[in-house]
Amino acid sequence: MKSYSPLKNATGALALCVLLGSAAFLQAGPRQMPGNPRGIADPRGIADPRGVRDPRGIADPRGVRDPRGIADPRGVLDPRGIADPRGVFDPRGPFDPRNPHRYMYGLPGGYALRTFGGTKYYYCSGSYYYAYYINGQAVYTLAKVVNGVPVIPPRPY
Amino acid sequence: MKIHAPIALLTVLFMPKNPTVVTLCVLSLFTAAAVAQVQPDAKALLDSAGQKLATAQTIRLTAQHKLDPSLGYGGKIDRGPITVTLQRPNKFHAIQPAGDETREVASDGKHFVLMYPQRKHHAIEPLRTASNEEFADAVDQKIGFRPPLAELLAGNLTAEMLRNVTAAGIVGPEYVGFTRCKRLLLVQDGMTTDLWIGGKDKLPRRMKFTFTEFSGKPTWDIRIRKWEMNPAVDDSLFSKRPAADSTRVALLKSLRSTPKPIVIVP
Repeated sequence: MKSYSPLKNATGALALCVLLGSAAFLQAGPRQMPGNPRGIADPRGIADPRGVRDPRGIADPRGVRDPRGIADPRGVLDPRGIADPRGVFDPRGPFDPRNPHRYMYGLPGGYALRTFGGTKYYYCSGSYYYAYYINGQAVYTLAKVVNGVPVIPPRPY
Repeated sequence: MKIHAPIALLTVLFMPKNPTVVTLCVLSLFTAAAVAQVQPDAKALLDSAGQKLATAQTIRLTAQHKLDPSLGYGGKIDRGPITVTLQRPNKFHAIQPAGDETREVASDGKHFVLMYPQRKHHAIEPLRTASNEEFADAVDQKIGFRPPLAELLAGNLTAEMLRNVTAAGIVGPEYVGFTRCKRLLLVQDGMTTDLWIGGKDKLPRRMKFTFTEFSGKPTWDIRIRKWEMNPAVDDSLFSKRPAADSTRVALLKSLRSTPKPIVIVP
């Protein structure tokens, strides 16, 4: 007569759990494991065509529909591509505060008029501009900020 | 003018045996020499336009202009309507509506005012002038630009249009809109001017400047839509002053020896 061994059954159940657990782990394991090259932390989804060799990394929130990513303000029509050294947050353009022009002939739509010591400056994208007329043309010249206050810049040309 | 002389010379050099051709070439050379000057019929046409405009004491014209992108900066002001009002002898007003970039020039013979009403900045300088021609010259010399269409509205249109011109001729009849015109070509160093003058009314209908010294030969094209002779004009238009909250801006002339060819309108 076959004897009933609870220990044997428990071992079997444990082995079964370990087996099932391993399979589940394999299914959602880290990306370096051959069973699941993307890994559970990969938010791209299985339909993402970029592949594991994509240099943007697994935490990149860009999806299939927006190859640049939701955090990229450039827009899908920006032709620079991901290899552009200026970074994804660089919106580029004449009114980019990180690259303000020394002077310009127009002002962006969102400028504001601010007065310091009775002198009016045109504030846009973090920079202050002072107006001159040169050859009858309005020239908005970048003003340096000293102690938090813009100062009248020299004429640009 | 630029084509006739080289063609004639080349023909003389390469086909000297045919006497008819040689004769034609010699004639062509004479023609080239004639075109290279101011042709009498061109001068007569300018005179007739000048006489027509000189009869009016007050003139108001509405034009549509288009500036080549390489000459402007890409703003609204590079193209659009211009309204010029002139009262002889020495009052001038021009406005270019362009939304936020609207520009206005006024002179009452005593002061020159340049205003950007929407941007709330302006310049005002004393500038005493006895005539509109003197006003245009003074603005050019002291401030660095010529008021728009100043040549056309000058008391002596022919002299103003032919200033610095080395050659002038009538190119041919052409239509501007529905008006049959005669097209004049005025050549000077670094620039050519095409002027279309109405065949019947002798009023200028279109003026196109081509800046030949710059690559791509950019143009400034002005089409005059409407002429008003002796309209009722409020005299305060010429002595217009900026709003109280407008800021005064320094009026400078460029220090560059060869400034970028920005055309100021107005």
